[in-house]
Amino acid sequence: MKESLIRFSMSRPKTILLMTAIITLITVILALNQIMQHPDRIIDTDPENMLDKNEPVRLFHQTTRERFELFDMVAMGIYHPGEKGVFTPEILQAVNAITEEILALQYNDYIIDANGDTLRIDTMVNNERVNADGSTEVVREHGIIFDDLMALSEIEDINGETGDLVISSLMAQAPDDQQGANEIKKRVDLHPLLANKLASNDGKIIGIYIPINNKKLSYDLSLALEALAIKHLGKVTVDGQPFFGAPEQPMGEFIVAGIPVAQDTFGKYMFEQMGVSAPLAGLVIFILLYVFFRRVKVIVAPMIMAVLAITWTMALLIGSGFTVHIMSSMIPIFLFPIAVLNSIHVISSIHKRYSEGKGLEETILSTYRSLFAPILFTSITTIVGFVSLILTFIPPVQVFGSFVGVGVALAWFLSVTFLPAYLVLAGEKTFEDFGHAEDSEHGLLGKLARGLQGLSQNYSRTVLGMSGVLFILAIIGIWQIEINDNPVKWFKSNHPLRHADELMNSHISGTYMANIVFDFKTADAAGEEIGLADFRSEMQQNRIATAFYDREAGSIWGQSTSGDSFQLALEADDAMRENYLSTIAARLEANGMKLGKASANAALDSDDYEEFEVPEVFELLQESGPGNIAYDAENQVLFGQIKQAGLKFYAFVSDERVTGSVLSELLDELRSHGVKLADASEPFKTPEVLKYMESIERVAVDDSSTVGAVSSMLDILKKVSWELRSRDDAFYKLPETKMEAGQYFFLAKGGENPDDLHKFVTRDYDAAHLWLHLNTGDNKAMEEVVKRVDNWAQKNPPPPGVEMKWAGLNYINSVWQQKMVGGMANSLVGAYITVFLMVVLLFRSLRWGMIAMIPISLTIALIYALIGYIGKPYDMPIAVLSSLTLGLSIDFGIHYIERSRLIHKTTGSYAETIAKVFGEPATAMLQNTIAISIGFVPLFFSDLVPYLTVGAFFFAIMLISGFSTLIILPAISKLLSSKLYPGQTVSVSE
Amino acid sequence: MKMSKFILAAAILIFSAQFAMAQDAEAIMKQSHLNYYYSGDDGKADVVMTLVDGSGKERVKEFTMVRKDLVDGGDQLYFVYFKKPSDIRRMTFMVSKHVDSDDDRMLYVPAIDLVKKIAASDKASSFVGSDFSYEDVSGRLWTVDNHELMGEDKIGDTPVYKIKSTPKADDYFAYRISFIDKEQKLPLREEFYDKQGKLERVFTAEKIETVDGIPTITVRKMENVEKGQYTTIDFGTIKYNIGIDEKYFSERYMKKPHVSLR
Repeated sequence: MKESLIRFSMSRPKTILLMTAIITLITVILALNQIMQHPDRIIDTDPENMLDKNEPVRLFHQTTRERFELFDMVAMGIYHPGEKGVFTPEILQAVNAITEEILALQYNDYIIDANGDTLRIDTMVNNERVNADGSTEVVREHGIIFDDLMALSEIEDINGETGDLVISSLMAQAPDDQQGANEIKKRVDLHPLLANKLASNDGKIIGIYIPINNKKLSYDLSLALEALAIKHLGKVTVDGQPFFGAPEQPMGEFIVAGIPVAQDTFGKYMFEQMGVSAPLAGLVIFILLYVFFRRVKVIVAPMIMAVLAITWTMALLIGSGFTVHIMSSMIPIFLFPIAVLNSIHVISSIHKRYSEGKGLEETILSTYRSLFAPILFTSITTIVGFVSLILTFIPPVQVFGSFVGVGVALAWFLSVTFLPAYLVLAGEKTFEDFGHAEDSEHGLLGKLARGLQGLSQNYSRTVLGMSGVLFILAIIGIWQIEINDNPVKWFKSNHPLRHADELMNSHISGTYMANIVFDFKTADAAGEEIGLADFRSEMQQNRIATAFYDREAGSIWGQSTSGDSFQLALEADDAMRENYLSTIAARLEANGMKLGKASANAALDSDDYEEFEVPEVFELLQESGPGNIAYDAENQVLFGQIKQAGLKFYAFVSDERVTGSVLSELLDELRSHGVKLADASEPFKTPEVLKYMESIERVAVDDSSTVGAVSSMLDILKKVSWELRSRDDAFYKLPETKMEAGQYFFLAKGGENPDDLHKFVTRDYDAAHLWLHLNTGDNKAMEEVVKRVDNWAQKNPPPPGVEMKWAGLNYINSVWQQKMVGGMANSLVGAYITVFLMVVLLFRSLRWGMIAMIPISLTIALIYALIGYIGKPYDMPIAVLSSLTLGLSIDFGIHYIERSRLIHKTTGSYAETIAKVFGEPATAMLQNTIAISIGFVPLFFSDLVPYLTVGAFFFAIMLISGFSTLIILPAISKLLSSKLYPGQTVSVSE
Repeated sequence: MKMSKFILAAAILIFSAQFAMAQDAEAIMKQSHLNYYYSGDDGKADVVMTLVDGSGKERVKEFTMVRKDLVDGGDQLYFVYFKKPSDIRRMTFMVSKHVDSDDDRMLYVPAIDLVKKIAASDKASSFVGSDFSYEDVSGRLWTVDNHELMGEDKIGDTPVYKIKSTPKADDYFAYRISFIDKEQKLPLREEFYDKQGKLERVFTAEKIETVDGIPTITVRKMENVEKGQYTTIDFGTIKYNIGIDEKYFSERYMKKPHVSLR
């Protein structure tokens, strides 16, 4: 079969070429079609997509954002290190001017820059919206949420300093003098939602936060912000220095930060990277091949094959609707060296054999006869290594692994069809003197191969001993690995975004956000209806486990100890009313008064009588001494007169009051039975729930070096309480009653933007969240906070009905990271076993199979040890390396073992075999080692850290595995030569 | 010469016509303002305010609202006594509206038994968290805008004047177009536009009833076009000219409002 395929390709070379062209055309059309139809869905830099769209954590994050109307933010920071920092009238005026221009973008699609030139920025974007029926539609709308813009002039401040309560814009107009600027600074500092958030406590940074609903806008927006900064800050002088300063002087600057900008910028860079690195890798490999073979017409073949394999793969990827993610953008750079590998073996072998004078076609055929099996198997093991990434369950990594697998398969296919066809078409003439010009075995690599032969054969025990020591050191190194990732650190440390990130996070509380969401879930309210008498008896027998209540509705529901749910709806009847009145009568009697009966009609019509609540009547009686009091059953009203004060009053005994009193009694009794109670009506106004949130907030922020601050509606409540009491610090605290909380919330909604409150608590007050500001995007920091808070919550469970869950982009990052670590272990184990079984199958020998795994096991261990020792965090790019190493490095072992066994079959002697193996085969393997590792060198110059990491580590992996194979395998062979290469010939798979 | 005189005469005629029309427009707006905000000498109503958010969910507030005019078309007193939801029950809110200076606003917070003066720096502030602003509730004086009669139109079957009002000083809206009932001189519809001519909010008189002989808008709706939400204010049990004593509009009565204010 295999020979007929090669023969077919050689006899019909033009058919093969035509086929190749047609396949290329079809795949490219597929991809173009997709690009035309969904231009927005080609590039994806959203870290959220590290998790599947339907992953619960992600869905919850999404729900949280929708519920509280939270958006991604582009942050602009204005920084000045001078003594007064940024709080000078000049800078504040510039901040206001910049804010105004940003807001004007809702009317204009351009700004005028400092030179008077027009800079277009179209803020209209296409957003996909999911309708109630599940269908989606594309709406064209503003990508900036202008209403939610956070800037000094756009924020409302509540101020009770003067005794009056002033609710006004924090900085309606920029101050004219320094005193005014200081005043603004003070107002920011005294607002818990703004202090060290909108401006730093040290006064060096002011922020403008621009919420956006589409990340694709952020890069353009950052350019506009830059232009605005130059326009308005460029004219500003501070301490006689221009804002942007003289080179030697400390100077002010503006910075743009935020995850959306990082992502969008990353996407733009990714494109450039794809456009530069892959062709550069191609060029480097081309030069190397030329050095090896010195025949352009020959080495053009592997280049064309690589380009074809990459084109087909990328076209298929895009054409089948997958997005180009950071991982998949690296496919070309991975495929280039891999695609060239097989052809190097083929060409190298032809190079060696052609000089034997058998003619071109026969040389090609004999080459494929000996190389077909190793090429096939090495391709399959490589595919296994990549496809094993499916076991990571991280979608972008899965897509990456699968499509590199596809690419490797395509490259193999081309190497057994296109390559022979091309070589035949190239003709005998091309190969004239091929292989004679410079005998590869006497070249540099040939000498190197001989050196390795000497090392492994003469010092085999030392080599193996050293390998053992290295392996132990490697294991120690692996324990030092620190698992961490941080999307901002995907940029090099000298990148402006990294600078912005560091500056912002060293001055303000933190730009990385995570949320602790508190939800209220009541027990099933549709339980069995029970009457008051039954409820009382259940309660007295301690058979009620949990109880929720709604005072206004007069209902109690929950679960009994047997797990049944119940509900009790109180309705005022005559008996209850009688009972209520008799308690009133009893209270009056205790104070020496009697409850009379009379008609209140006259009292109700008179202006002399004032209305009170029933409890107030008792208060009045207590304060002002006894009086007359009577009940009018017709009007259901208590009325009378307090003798001493001469006050005439009436108070309605409404149904609500009657059931309310019964409910209060029942609740008191439930409490005395130790039943856990929860107020189900607007639970996030109840003091217990607010206090619990406050404790969680303390656990999150206290003694934490990473959580700089927490924002929540608790801040608003405390601030209102404090301002109402003219800033008496004793009242900087949470409300003590539900009513107090309700009234503070009412006040907080008295400004121009009443809905701002609902960024923190829902309109129904049935869910709220704590907004954590972290000063680092490191996932390990996030994990530490989650662990600390969750541990505390486990020991101190929330009030009944309250559930606590995490959300936020930073939290999502930490979740997929944990998933990735487990996933990578899966992938590595899966690939290891598969590759092992395959080599056993290939060699039909368990022993050889095990030996083949030794060099790559050492390589993987060494690479991870390296990561551990140098303290490079184990992040996503690193994680994908392990399985790949396995799939690629095993190639060297397969070639070495397969070739040595073939040679041994003809020579029958170990010494001769080793001598021949370290001729052409070892040279080809060294060529490959160098070609593939050098192929990753262009990535060293990348501005994006993940590319750099992949480049550097792959370079190291290929070198280490190539050399370790050529040293360790021969050393083992030497020691076990009698067993591994017995006197007789061994059958080898055809 | 004759020609230029003719042009001059024509110009004067046109200008005076325009002047007259502007005056007409202002007169209409003044009358409408008086009818809307100054009907009777005083008035009292039980109000149900319904806030409907973008998802169609309703939230209801109930309060009693009392108004007393000190000067017709001039200073007024407003008193609001909240009943529902229960956590803001007994909160009271008092506005002393001044035509030529900032209003005085006072709020009583029963949970902590505190009366607090609130600085009225912003008339665009939301009225108790609704889509109505303070100004929408207590009235925007006709003299702060320039009015222009754009023509006549119909709202349903009712003939109306269409009047464009542009604030004399920079304000929170760029201009407003009012549709004033020709006969009753009440606003049936008001559209608020921003600088870019984009419709921001729409007021509509949903229901007009005659109470004590006074045509009264009993259901008022304000829609926030951008946010897709609206608020309706439903006036029930309206009484006019009940002779409420001015002394009840004081701090003491905020804590324990007199019967006539509840």
